[in-house]
Order: sequence, then structure tokens, then C-alpha cells
Amino acid sequence: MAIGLARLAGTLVGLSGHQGTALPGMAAERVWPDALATLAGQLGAIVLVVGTNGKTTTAGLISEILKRGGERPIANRSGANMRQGIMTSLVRASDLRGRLKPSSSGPRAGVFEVDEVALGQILPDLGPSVIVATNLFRDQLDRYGEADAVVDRWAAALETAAEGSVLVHCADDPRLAMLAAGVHMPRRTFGLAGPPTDREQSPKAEDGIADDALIGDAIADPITCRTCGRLLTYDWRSIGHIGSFSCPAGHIRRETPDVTVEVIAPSSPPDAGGRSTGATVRLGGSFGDATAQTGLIGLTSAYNIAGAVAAGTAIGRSVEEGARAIEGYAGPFGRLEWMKVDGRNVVLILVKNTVSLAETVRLGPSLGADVVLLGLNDAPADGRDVSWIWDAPIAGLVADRAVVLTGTRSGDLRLRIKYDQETAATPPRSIEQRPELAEALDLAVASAPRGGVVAAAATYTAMLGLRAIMERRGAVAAAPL
Amino acid sequence: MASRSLRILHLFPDVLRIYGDGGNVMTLVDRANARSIATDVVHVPVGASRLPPADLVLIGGGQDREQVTVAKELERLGGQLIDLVAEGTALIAVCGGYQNLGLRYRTSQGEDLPCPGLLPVSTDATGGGRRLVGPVVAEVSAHLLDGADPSGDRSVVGFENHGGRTVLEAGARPFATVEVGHGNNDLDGTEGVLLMPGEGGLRGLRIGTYLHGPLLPRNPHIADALIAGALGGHDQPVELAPLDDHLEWAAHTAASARLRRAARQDRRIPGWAHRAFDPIRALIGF
Repeated sequence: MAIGLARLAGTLVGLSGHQGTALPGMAAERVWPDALATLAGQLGAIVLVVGTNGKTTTAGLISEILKRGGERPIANRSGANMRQGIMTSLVRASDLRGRLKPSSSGPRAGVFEVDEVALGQILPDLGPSVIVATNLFRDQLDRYGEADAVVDRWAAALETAAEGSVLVHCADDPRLAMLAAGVHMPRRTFGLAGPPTDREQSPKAEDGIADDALIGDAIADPITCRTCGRLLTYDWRSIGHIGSFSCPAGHIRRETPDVTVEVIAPSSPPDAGGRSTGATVRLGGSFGDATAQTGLIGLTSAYNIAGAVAAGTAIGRSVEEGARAIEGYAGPFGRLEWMKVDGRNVVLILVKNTVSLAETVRLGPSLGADVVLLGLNDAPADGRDVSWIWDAPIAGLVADRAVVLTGTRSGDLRLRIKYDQETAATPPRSIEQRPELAEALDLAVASAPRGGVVAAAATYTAMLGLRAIMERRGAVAAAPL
Repeated sequence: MASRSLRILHLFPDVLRIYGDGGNVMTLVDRANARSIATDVVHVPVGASRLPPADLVLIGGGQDREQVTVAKELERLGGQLIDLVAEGTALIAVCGGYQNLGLRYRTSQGEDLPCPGLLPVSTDATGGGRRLVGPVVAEVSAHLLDGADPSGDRSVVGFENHGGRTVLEAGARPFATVEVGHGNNDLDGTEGVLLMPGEGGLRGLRIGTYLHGPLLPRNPHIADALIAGALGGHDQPVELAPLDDHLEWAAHTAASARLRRAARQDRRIPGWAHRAFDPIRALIGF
């Protein structure tokens, strides 16, 4: 009855032209409070993915690994990662009597990305076999509060994990290492094989008064040891506060990851046919070695791949099987997705915090962009506080390029560029501001030569808006490779 | 004028920099350079042995745990900071730094942190009340902008995100009066604290505020008041040449107009309707 009601709600919402990712789940839970636990109880392996960046991509990669093993995993839609969104995905996969249709090989697996603050209210009902923590960056302070508070929430949530469930986490993220140190459950870690080769290490800050160059990585959040409060020191950094860290007093240090990854060949921008090539990665560590030609770009993707393969090893998939399964996977929409618009290649990049913006800036050269379109909205789903745009160096993205700014906060982007002292030396070739997304997209596309590249980096709602406009105009996603 | 220079001390950027505080420094540097005033930015990390002389000191925001670290640093360096301000150094303290520099600061854990008492405010973060989060429009004290702003616009826009409730000492002057948002404590309509040069026995201009965003890029009048205060002090006011600020004011008024409009609409909606529809609005992100 409850499921029927939920399906009806889903159909009605669907008819009204919306995605309807929350309402069916809400309806089912309203009349059947145990719905989530009952439905989840019929699943086989359940993998939850939590973290600031890379949730959707990592969950997508894990689904690929399961599919290659013959499974048809149930997954929630990108971004529908609150309790109701997961509920909705289960309702959709069940019959009217609340039974999940099994696959030929037995109970179906579930792979769900979970919102940072929703983990605590979802974990006990789902009883996952594997929990993957990708990373924990400062993000949406207006919604989540401080990163330390999120660590505490996760620690409390993990206390409720079932006996035997495995925590898979990034070994290079000190916040997660400190979290894991206080949690009593089997663990498996992933991380880089060594210092990343695509970036220079900034000199270490010395004691006493430092000048500009010595302050360390300005993108990185300062991380202090949870035991003694001293600032952590680094042998090398990869992304923001992630890297090979240690407490100067020896309370905690990075462990050697169980599954390691390195990028052995970077991605390349689209050729004349609009096809791009993803990065080649080498996986290693104590569970075995493999090389994979991926459809993904950048160091963040390498971490996501290692996380997915490590999660795979926790449910009986070898590193080699994992590597084969993810080859050619091009990622979820809006996360480095190539689209063809009016003879130009538009690459959509989701930016949502300092770190994702900084990584986008780093990707700049490998995208071969002729025009850069930056979209900044401040709806709740974007994060209402946009101060993070000031913490990432942007010169590498906008210098000597045609730049178009859009979104409700495009004026802030304009000031960000104006006040960037680094950019003053090589300013953008042109800067145009068009708050309306459609107008900005038109201008950006028209400013690029035929066959050229528009790099469109935008916050969540701006990215969705740009993508919808392109789809309406008949743009198709161009699969890489 | 061309020979003047502005030295900015950025205090503890290694632990206090979570709200785009670097944007404030960039704005000060650019606006000084535009007037042919040379700048020199000195970062003072945790563990620094002393504070060098400076014209302007900036301290930003951080997490609770980092504020404990900063309180320990200020036990050592707070006296030197007070000496600098006594000699005429200007100060801008944002969010966490604002709380740390007051007379009293009780953390959410109920711990009383040592405070140098440079700003006449007391902050209590216990009580488990909701965090005060959101965009702010406020009217800056006329004392700060007396004659300095040709457009006559005294509004200031920013974003606040704090758990602590701050109360001004009797007679202390707020930096601004809240129009949209919460301010110091969500009760008395005050935002931040302002001490003009010479007040409280110290010669330096002092601003404490919860407003980040960061504050200065979209509020060029505040940036200029700080630069003028840092270079002049109370006995020799400094005139800064006007700059082309149309981009700054465009971003400023885009924000203030939007927030005022939303606030007006909000007031027209009765309380029961809020209770009924806000959860749904939150769900669909509208």
C-alpha cells in the first residue's frame, strides 16, 4: 500500500515534468515508517559513499565494478543523497508489495551516495557492508557548520555500523585518518602512490615571521592534531589539506594506503572530432596491481578511482577486476562532461568549494579552453556563502583568455578577478558579465572558434541550468575516447 | 603622498582563514597601490616570536579548535598588539578574530579563553542556540564614514556565520546597525564594534565585525576608511583620491537590493504560512 502510494506520487511528480527524487520516498515513509530498513534488508551488499567531493563519481565507479560482476546495483540519483532520495530509489526498484525484484544472481546490491549531514540518520536503517569516505573539505559552512563538527557527526554515525562492516577511507586525508583512529571497525585505505607529479610543492613555512611565499598552501585548510592541537606538517600535499601528513609530536601520521594510485598519462583535450582522452592510472598496493585507461580527468578522479577499487576489494572484487570495470567510464553528468554546442566543445565542470575551484584552475591547460565561462549562484544547493572563491588562485584559469561571468553572484566573480594581483600581470583578454545563464552561454559559445573549447565551471544550480539549456538546444553529451 | 607606504600584518593566516579573509588583504593592497601607496603584507603565523611595526592589522575567522590555538598565541602577543594599536596601528578583526580580541570569550564547550581585551565586547558561545547564518545588510556608523563617502551610501553587505552571541560593553559603539540579518546577538540590532582613533586611550582605528564574504571587496568605502585610518590616525586625517568603484557598488547593490526585497516579502508572509511552507521550500531548494 505504502509502496503503491509512493509510486503514484512518483508518477504524478514525473508527469509534472520534475525529477521527483524526494517525494515518493517521503510518501512511503509517512505511511510505513520502517520502509527504509525493510527494503534495505532485502539487498545484498550495500555500499555507502560519503564525503565532500567525488561522491557521485565514486559511487558511479563502484556501480561499474558491481555491474561487471553481473550485478544490477540499485543506486540513488546524483544529488538525491538525503534519506528521501535513497528511499525513492528503493521504492522505484520494488513491486507493489514492497518486495525488491531480485536479480538472477540473488539479492541485488545497493550503492548510495550520502549527504554529509544525513549519514547518521541513514546508516542504522541501511546497515551497509562498506562505507566509503572520500574526503572531507571545508564546504558549505552555512549548512554543515565547521569541518570538525562533521567529523564528530560521522564518528557518532559509524558507532552504529553493523559488526563486520568495513570503513574504506582516503589515507591521505588527515581528517579521515583522525576519524578512523577513533572508530573500532575493519578498515581499508586508499591514496596516492607518492607525491603528485602535476604540481609543485610549496616551500614549508618556517617558524617566526613568514612572507607571502612561505605561508604554505593557501588553498589548504589548516589542520591541527586532535590530540595536541599542533599544526600538522607535510612531506607533500596533493589537494588542499590532503597529502603525506604527520603530527610534529608523533600522535598521528599518514599510513601507507592499501590501494595506491598514480596518474601515468594525463588526459588530453578533444581532437578535431570532439573526442577527448581520459587519464591512464596505475593501481597498486597490497591487494594487487593493474593499469587502467580511464574516461576521467585529473587528480581528483584518480582518488575517486582508488576509492572505488578499494571498496571493490572489500566486497570480493580484485584490483584487476576493478581496473577493467572502470575503463571508459566517463563520469556522471556535469562533472567534466563534454557537450557539443553549435560546433564548439563545451566541458561542464561542477565547482562548489575552494578545492574544486583550485583543481579546475589546475586542469585549465589540459582542457585547451578558448573561452572560460564561470557561473556562480548562491541558492541553498550552491551554498549561500560564496567567500570560497577568494581562497583559490584563479590566475591560471582566466589569464589571457576570453572570460564570461554568469549567475546571481557574477558581480562577486568580477571583483574576484579585478582584485587578483597575480592576474594583473596577464589579464583576461576580455571579461563580460551576463547574469542570465542563457545569455552568458550564447556569448561564450559565440566567442570560441568552431571546433574550439568552452570550459564552463559553475556551481550546482548554475551547472544544472547551463546543462538544461544546452540539452534544450539539442546538444548531446560527447562520450570521451 | 607617493612616498607613503602601507604595511599590513595578517595575523595567524595559517589557522584563521576560512572565510575568504585573503580577499580583504587583496582589496587593501590593490586600493592602496591604485593611489601609488606601496604595500607590504606580512603574514604572522602561529609561533611567531614578535609583531613587527605595521600600519594595519587584519585578523580573520577560524573554527573553534583553532580559536583555542589563537587564544594561546594572544596570551603571548596580545600585549604587543595593544602597544601597536596604542601607537596608531589600525585593526580589522573578522568573526573568530573579533571574538578572540574581546574582553571575554566563552567557547561552545564552556571554556573561558584568555582574551586581551582589545575590543570592548564579550562573547558567549554556550547555550546551544542555533548558529546565526546568512547574508547581512547593515548601516555603518556615521562616525566611520564621516565625510569620506561621496555617494553617501552607508550600507554594508556581508555574510555572517557564528554560534557565539556578542554583547557590547556599555557605551561601546557598534560598527553597524542590522537591517537584514542577525548581527552581534540577534537581539539588539547591533553588528560588530567600532572605536575611532583616540577612543579608549588608543590611537588606532578599530573595527570588529562578524561580516565576511569577504567584507572589503564589496564594501570599498570600508576598505578606504581602513586605509585612511591606517595612514593617518586621529591627528592627521588622510584624503584618498577617489577610484572608479562602479563594479564594487554594482555587486554591493545587487546584493543589498535582493536581500531587502526578500526581507520585505518575508514580512508580508504570516507566521503560520512560514511554518507550513518553509520545510517544503527547503526541500525543493526554492
